[in-house]
This record gives sequence, C-alpha cells and structure tokens, in this order.
Amino acid sequence: MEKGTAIENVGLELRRGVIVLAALSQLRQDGYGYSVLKSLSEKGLEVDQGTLYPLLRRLESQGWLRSDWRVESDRPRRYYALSPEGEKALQQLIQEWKNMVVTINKILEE
Amino acid sequence: MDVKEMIESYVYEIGQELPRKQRSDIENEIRSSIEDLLENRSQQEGRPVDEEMVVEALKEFGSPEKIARSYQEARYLIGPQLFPLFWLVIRIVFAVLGVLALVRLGFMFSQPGVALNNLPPMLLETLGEIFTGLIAAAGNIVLVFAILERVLPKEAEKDEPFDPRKLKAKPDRERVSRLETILEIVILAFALLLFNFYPQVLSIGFVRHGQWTQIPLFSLTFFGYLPFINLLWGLGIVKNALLLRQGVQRPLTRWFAVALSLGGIALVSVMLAGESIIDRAGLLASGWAQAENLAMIFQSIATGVLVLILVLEVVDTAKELYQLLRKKSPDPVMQA
Repeated sequence: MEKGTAIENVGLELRRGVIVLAALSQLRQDGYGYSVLKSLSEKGLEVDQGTLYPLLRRLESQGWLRSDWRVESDRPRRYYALSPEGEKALQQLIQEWKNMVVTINKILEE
Repeated sequence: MDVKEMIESYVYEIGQELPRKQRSDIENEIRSSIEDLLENRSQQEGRPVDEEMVVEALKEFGSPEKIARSYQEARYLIGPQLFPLFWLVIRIVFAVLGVLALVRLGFMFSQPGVALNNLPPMLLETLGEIFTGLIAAAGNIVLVFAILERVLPKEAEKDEPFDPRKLKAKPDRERVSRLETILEIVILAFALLLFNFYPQVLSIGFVRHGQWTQIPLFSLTFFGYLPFINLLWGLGIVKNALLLRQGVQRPLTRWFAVALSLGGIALVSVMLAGESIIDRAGLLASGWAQAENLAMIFQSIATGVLVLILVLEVVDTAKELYQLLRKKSPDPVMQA
C-alpha cells in the first residue's frame, strides 16, 4: 500500500466516527440532507454526499433519527430530526468526544 | 439528452443496484438532494441550471455504482461467522477425496492387462474425473453454507466475561504425544512378530473337499524384502523409544525420522517396480474356482496399499523437513 493512501485511509477512519456526531448535532432542529451537508461545509467539515445520505438513513433505522416527506414549493424533501433516543445518544457522544479530545491532547503534548 | 433526462437516468441506474424494497424511497431522496444542490449552485452562480452544471453535480455525487454501494451493507455469500466452519469442512472433504483419488489411481495402475501406451490417456481421464469431483464437492459445500448463511439467525456479539486463566494451552509442535508413540511401538512390534514368526497367519483359508485349506498370501519375493522391512520397523521402534525418553522432538530425532521415511520410500518403490508381492502362482495352483479373480483383487489391494504408503511417507518426509528447516521466531516473553 502506498504511503499516501495509507494516511488517507487512517484519516477517513478518524473522520468516520466524527461525522455521526457532527450530523446528529445539526439535526436538533429539522433539516433535510442537503441542508445538513451545507451546514457542515460552512463550519469547515466537508462530507461526501455518498457518505452523508446513507448515514442519515442508517441513523434513522437505528432509531436515533425520525423522518418525514414534506412538499415545499412543489418540491418533495425528506426532513430528518433527532428522536428522543437520538437526543440521549447525542449527549453521550458529545461527552465521549470531549473526553477523547482531552485524552488525545494530553498524549500528543507528551 | 436534456438535463432532466440526465438526472432521471442517473437516479434510475442507482435504483437498479438497490434492493427493490428500498429502491423508490432512496431514488426520491437522491433526486431531491440533486435538485437541492442544483438550486443552490444556480443561485450562487446567477444562471439557470444547464447541462454543464448537472454534469458537474453528478460527478460530485459519484458514479451510480458507488452511490448504490454506499446504501448497502456488506453482503456475504458465506459470512465471517460461518467461514471458519466452512473452511474446516472444505479441508476435511478435500483430504478425504484426495486419499480416495490416490487409492483409485493405485488400483488403476495395478490392473492387469493395462498397456503402457494406454496409461497417459487413462491417467488424464481419471485426473479429469477427480478434478470434476473436487469442484462438484466444493460447489455443494458452498451451496449448503450459502443457504445456512441466509437461514441461520445472526449470532449476537458474545459479551461473556473473559477469563485468561481458562485459555487452552498453545499446542507445542515439539512435544511428543506419549499415547501415539506407544501405540506406534506396539503396532511395529506386533507387525515384526507377525511377519517373522507367524507368517502362516498371512494366508487365505477356505474349505476344500470338506477340508480346511490355507494358501499363503505373500510371495517369496515379498519375504525377500522382509530383512529390509525388519530393519526399518526395528529402527522405527528405536526412534519412538528415543522420543518417549526425550518427551519432545529434537533435530536429531527428526533427521532420524527423515532417514527412515526415505528408506521406506526407496523400499516401497522397489516393491512397486519389482515382481508381485502376492503369491499369485500359489493361489492359481490351489485349483479354486475363484482363484483367478481373487489373485487379481489381492494384487490391486497390495498395489493400492503400497502407493498409499509411498504417498504418506513422502508427506511425512516433507513435514519433518519443514519443521527442521523453518525459521523459528524468537520468543518475546522469554527475551524480555
């Protein structure tokens, strides 16, 4: 495996877990796929369409999100929002993230 | 193709790769997302949606196959849960079929009346049949496991408390099994006694004219080989006695085993190439109606057994040489 590809793969692994947390955090209020993508991009986290949309469906199937189709200006859109279970999961993940940042920073500063 | 057709074709191609149950829902969601993206681009660039913009947007989304894959979980014909069992079954079945194939080849070569120039096509035909048999067996096993993969409920991740003290000891390749070694000594001693002191037992008995008649099974040629057989068996007993005393395999005992196996290979090869070890003439002279057929059957069995011994000796030699020549990795715990 080439060195560059290996680093890219590790980078992708690091981002994969973070994307769940980031996407959940943007759905405290209702939002559709593209709005979440745009909102994350504006905050500096670029996520591939092919990653985000299937992820939203998976989070819905595990009960963390709920969704419904709405028609706005003749255009149907699927809106997602956190379910009560998703709210709890988000709080735990935020705590987990904060602990991890502290720990990893401590390790890296050694 | 106008822009709407291009989007529809793209969405359709993704849908073709998706399970029917989710297809329509995912197609609608992707279509909606593309339209959102195009609407946003059109506002940003201050121009209506055109072909160039759609091509760019679809390129950003990625190929239909890639998008369809991202919506699906990894699918297995035989999943990680069943794969170790599948692999074990494949190895056992192939080993059994391999031994049967060798026995079959042995019988084939030992058939009387087989001309030398007929052997290559016969061999090719038999090898072809064996290969077809192996493929068919593998196919059936894969089929059964693929069905099990779909039928059996998925085992939930085991979350039992783990106790390292209950781990099984790592098998030590150098440690000798006392039971197997003693058993081998007993078998060799028994064979030595039988062939040297009670050869009359190695005969065929039947009732003829109201009297019990016995005809020796092995020919004089076989008994000509007996001193060499005795030597190999005797040394085999010595080797096993050494192993029992040591408790572990050492390079010297392994080289000893290699030498014995090579001796065995040489002797069996000479026996296969030489005159028959079955007393065919004695059987025919008995005047028994079935003697001709019986002689042929015994000849085939003897050749089959010799071929089998030859193969086992070659495998044994290869195993011992591998153990002798493989590089041993240092033990990190012992080094620390």
